[in-house]
This record gives sequence, C-alpha cells and structure tokens, in this order.
Amino acid sequence: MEEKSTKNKKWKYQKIMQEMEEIFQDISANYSQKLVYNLLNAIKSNNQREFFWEVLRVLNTKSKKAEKVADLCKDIGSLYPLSFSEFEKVAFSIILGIISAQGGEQNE
Amino acid sequence: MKNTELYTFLQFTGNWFIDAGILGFVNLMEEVYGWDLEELQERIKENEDIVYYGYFPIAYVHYNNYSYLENEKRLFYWLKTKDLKFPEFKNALEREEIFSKVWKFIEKHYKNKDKIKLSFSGKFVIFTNFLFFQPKWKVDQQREAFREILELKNFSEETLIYVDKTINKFLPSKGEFQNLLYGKSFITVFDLKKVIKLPLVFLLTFPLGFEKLGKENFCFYAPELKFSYKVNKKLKILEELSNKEKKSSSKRRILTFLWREVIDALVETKSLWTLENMYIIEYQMGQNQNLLKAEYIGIPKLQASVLIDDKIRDALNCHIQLGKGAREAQIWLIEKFIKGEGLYEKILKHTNYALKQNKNPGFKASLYALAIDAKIKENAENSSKALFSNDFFRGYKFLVDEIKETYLLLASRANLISQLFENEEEKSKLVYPLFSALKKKNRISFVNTLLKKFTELSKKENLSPLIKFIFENIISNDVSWENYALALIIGILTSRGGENGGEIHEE
Repeated sequence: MEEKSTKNKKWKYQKIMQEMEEIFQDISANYSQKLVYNLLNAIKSNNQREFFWEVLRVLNTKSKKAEKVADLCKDIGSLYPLSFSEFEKVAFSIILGIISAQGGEQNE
Repeated sequence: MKNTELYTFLQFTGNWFIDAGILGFVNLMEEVYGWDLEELQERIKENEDIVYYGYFPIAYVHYNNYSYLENEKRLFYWLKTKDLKFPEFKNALEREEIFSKVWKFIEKHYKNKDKIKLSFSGKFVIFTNFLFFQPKWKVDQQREAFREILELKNFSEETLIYVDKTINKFLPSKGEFQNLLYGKSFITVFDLKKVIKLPLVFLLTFPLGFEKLGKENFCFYAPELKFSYKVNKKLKILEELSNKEKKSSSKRRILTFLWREVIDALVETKSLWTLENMYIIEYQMGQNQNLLKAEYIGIPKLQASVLIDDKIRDALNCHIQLGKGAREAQIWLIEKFIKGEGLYEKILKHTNYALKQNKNPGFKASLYALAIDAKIKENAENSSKALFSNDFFRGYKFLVDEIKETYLLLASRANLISQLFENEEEKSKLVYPLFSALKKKNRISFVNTLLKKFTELSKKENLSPLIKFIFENIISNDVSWENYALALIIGILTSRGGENGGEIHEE
C-alpha cells in the first residue's frame, strides 16, 4: 500500500511539473529567471506561505489558460497539507516546470 | 571391496573443513610424490587402496620429517640420494597387507629411539598432543593409531570417535559443546563416514590445505575441488615468488592476486556457480595451539551475481585514491564491494580528494560504483524484507541489467551537464557549493544551487533531459538521490580537463 501511494504521489508531482511547463510556455526569459530565483529562495527558507503566494499570484495572471491553471490548482490542493519533504518535492516540480518551459525542444 | 564403493575419485563434500582436508591431501601427495590432481585422481581410480593404505602413510610420515628441507621433500629424490627402494604394491594385495609393507618401510627409515619422530615443527604443530604425535608414544602404539585412522581396526580412542578441537582447531573443545546433554561432540566419525570415506585421513591433512603467507595461513575455498586446487596452487606460487623477491605478501596483494586467479580459473573451469560460494579462510596460530584469528570472507550471492558480469567487474577492478599517500589511501573497489561496504561513501571521498588536488576523479569506475550502490539501495527498499526473496533465487539477473542501464544514464547525464558550461571558472564556481551541499546531505541546497545556475544559462537546449533526470532521480528519490547527484558533480569535474586523479586499473 505504501509503495502504491509513493508511486501515486510521484505521478502527481510529474503531472504538476508538466502542467507548469504548459502554462509557462509564453513567459519571458527575464521574468522566468526572476520568478525562479524568488521561488528557490522561498524553498531555501522553507517558507511555504511565500512560495505559494508567489506561485498563485503568477497563476492568477494566466487567464488565457484558466482551464489548465484550474487543473494544476486541483492537483496541488489534493496533496495538501504538505509535510516538509512533500513540500520540497512539489516546490521543485513547480520550478522544474518553469525551467522546462524555457528549455526549448527535448534533446533525447 | 576394491573400487566398488561410492567414491572412486576425490571430490568435495560441501563441508569446508573436510574439503580443506581433501585439498590438504592433494597437496601432500603433490609435495611428496610430485603428482598433480589429475594424476592423483587417475591413481585413485586405478586402485584407491594402494593410494590410501600404501602411498598416504609414507607421504604423511615423510612430510612430517622433511617438509622443511626443500630438496628432501620429494620422496623419490630422497630415496635416490640414499639409495633406498620404495615398497612395491601389487594390485591384488589386501589393505592390511599393503599397510604392513608400508609400516615396515616407515619403521626402517623413520624410526628413531623406538618411535617415529613426528610433528616437531611445521604445519602439524597443531597436533602435538594428538595420537601418534605424542612424545611418549612408542612405535607400536603409533602403528595402531595409524591403523585406526585408516579404519583397519575398530576405534578405541574416544578422540577419534567424537570429533572436536583435539582434531580440528576450528571446532569447539569438549567442554564448549555446552548444550549437549550426552556425548562429547555432536560430530562423530560415524556421521562423517556417511559423507566421505576415511574421514580421519582428511581431518589429519587439514593443515596442509592452507598456504602460509607471512604469519597467516590462507585457504581459498570454493565448493569444487579442481577450482579450489587451481587457485590455491597459484597462491602458493605467489608466496614462493614473494620469498624469492623478498617482497612482503600483504593481505591486499594476496586478495588482488587471488581475485585475478579466481577469474582466470572461473573462465578455465567454466564453473560460474562456484563464485557465489567462495570463502577465504584465514588463521594465525598462537603459541599454545590456539587459533589467533580466523576469518571467513564469504562472497554474498548478490555481490557474486553482479561481479559475474564482465563489464561491471572490469570497471570495478581498479584502485582509487581517497587521500594522500601511496598505499594506505588507495582502495581496491572490488574488495570493498565484496565486503558489502557502501561504495557511495568511497566515491564521495575519492571525489573530495580529486577536488582538493584539482584532478579528475575516475569517471567509469566512479559511475559504475555509484550505479551499483544506488541499485542495491533501491532494491533493498523495494523488495520484500524476507531473507530469501524471489530475487535471491532468480540470481539477481535483473539487478545486473538495471545497473548497466543506470550506468549509461549516469554517464550520459554527466556528459550532458559538462557541456552546459562554457568556461572552467564557471564550472569550478559551481562544483564547490554543490559538493558541500551533497556532503551535508542537503538536497534542497543542492537542487537550489543547480537550478539557479540553470536559469542563468544562455543556452538552454540541452536542459530537458537533465531536468527530467533531476526530477526523477534526485527530487522524487529519497533512497539514493545522493548517488545521482554525485554523478553530476563528477561529470562537471571530469570535463575540466585536469589530469587523472587516481583510477588505477588492474593489469
């Protein structure tokens, strides 16, 4: 059971990362860099409140992709409340999604 | 009853201390008569009675008296120099007749002051107070004891019936079998007779199964006679060479050498199955016939299954530098792996050393070691906690495949990360905080540092596979994330173009 739940969570983190990537496709490189910096600093100080405040503030501006944003928020919400270790994983999934959006085409 | 019994040739029983005795028997016959295993087997097949009742007692007595003299060891040479004749054994002779001929020869040539002088030095020193070795025993008593050993008469000596420390120092003594209500030892000669013919002969030749290397006695044991014989014979050659060159035979040198021989013998005898049942038995003898140290280095099935693979074995078969100093700071990866020591810690130290010395860590060996360590940790986490899981019986074949896949993944991502940065300074600036985070096991700090660097990059074409790698193996992996993280650091370090930092492969 425990293993199943771990796999399930991993799948959720992956989904969050993909959704972030899709939502942030049209973000500028400069803004993305600034956002990632702020988010990384929030993780470093383990400040969940600041981290999600920043994420939700940006998501709120993505009215063109409202449906995707709603899905993402549902996925994040379903994981709540987050332990420290879970927060670490969700937060990095979000950031990796933003960086991936800037990463260009897959090179595999 | 000639040649009609179960065993008409020598073979191992699966019990290591009887098997060490069988090996000792083979060594004894080789030392005294110059026969190798094949010839001995032929002779046993031809007429085993002549070998056990004729050649063996003479060889045993002769070796006890002359083993210390290089040239006199070989019996036929000794006979020639003294112009003596070896007794003739005709095929039709009965056991008792063969033995009485042999004993006449022994009494004539080895008797001194009404006794056969035995065990005053050498390997048989452990038997000083046992049967015919006792200084007080006269030749008649010695003969009768020999007859008992060869089962030509019923056992009258208790020590021969209850097998304990008196016969083999690796066993407990009478008093130490504390949980026995009756009897002196739970191993009796009658039990052993069910396993092998003439068991006492092999208990006597036990010390000869070992090679003396320095102060210690070594025996390499795998449950196949031919295989063990080949490896131990080469071990002996090593010792002879070391003595001639006056080099010390350190344990590390022996193990390095031994392993090479094991692989050679494996290929030669095609007995891969023995690999997972090998032991190195090592002991040191004290003054009062005490064993000072006995070590059994078993090679666990998991490690053996992994080492069977050529590529993995070749990659691990090297020494890596963990610090300054020629010998002490070098480790042999295969040895550490066999002993079940964590390879991640070793590679972390190796990378630390390389970083301090501004050198490159060994790329292939390090990444293979990290892949092996990661897969073993993950396997332990995911598999059932049963002692003998299904994987145990399947022989961990899947693990070997997974290790190779992981190595390829680590190597490709290590290469990829090295291509992201354009100049040396940039790489050096990044490596120190990453390594410091890893040493503190601080995943947040590690990923933080790395991602900050990623956002600063002007070229972001190759980022996708790396991001996937970081997500799957570092962020979502609580069991072995350090292994994957270290591989990235090694990737950055080895691309700096510095000199090799100590991955010395075995030749």
